[in-house]
Amino acid sequence: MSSSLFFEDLNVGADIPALIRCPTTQQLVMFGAATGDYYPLHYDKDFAERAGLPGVIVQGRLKASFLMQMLRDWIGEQGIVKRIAVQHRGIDLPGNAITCGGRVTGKNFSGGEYYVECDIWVENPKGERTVKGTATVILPTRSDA
Amino acid sequence: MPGLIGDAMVELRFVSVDELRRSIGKISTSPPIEIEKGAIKKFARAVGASVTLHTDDDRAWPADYGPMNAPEDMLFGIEFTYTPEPVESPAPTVLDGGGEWGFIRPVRAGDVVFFTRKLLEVSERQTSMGKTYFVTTEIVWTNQRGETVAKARLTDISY
Repeated sequence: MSSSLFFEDLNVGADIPALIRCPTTQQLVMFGAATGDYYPLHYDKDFAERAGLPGVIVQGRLKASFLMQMLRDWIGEQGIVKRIAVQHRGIDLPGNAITCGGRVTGKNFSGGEYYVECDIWVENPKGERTVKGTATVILPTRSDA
Repeated sequence: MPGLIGDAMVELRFVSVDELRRSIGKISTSPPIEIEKGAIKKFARAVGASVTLHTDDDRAWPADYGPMNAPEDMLFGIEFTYTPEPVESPAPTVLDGGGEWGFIRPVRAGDVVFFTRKLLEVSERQTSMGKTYFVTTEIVWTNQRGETVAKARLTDISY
């Protein structure tokens, strides 16, 4: 977990430190158990193949959770994730390293809060973006510290 | 197709797209859900979260606010566990198309939340997977004080 990130420290165009995850089939099962998502696409290879997929696939919400972790690690404990939006453009398979990334696209002050807008994404090992999205975080200012 | 959700067997019920469209605007409500420390830790371990806010009994955000915080993304999965009615789909394979979540207030261990689900839209078009349906729902989570804690607009893709 990083130390606090302040609104003044960021410029538009700044990269969010990447988060790399390599979900295993075990993690897919753990996520299913923790969320109640027992849809067989994520643990039953035969079911997944009958559905036209190459094998069991990583849950979309697990990838969204990875993106949330990336954001929380970046903004520190004084920051707040206010919004996340994701579109799942492709599947990811367990056993492959996937990279979560992002970039600052805007900063603004509204309603007493300092907002930072970001583009976020998940890339597979081929560099293809299987998730595209945006996020909004609130950061403290150095005068708040 | 039955699926184990929470303590109950919940069906994935196949319906025609016309029947599904007749449910547009219908709101269903989950039972009350207690946010437990053990469930928070289990979720944090499952996603590999590194934030001690969600695993350390003595931490909370903001500091000295009390019990352990649930990661916001824990709400992503609550609806699977506590969905109040059969999940209806016009096709046998359902993929998560994504969504947008707005987090309004923290959720902490000991809170009791519930959610409402409303079907907003059903559309269809031809894709590489054949006839494909896009089903959009709105989810609103509320805590025991009647405060809205989060809202989401989600899309499932069925083929």
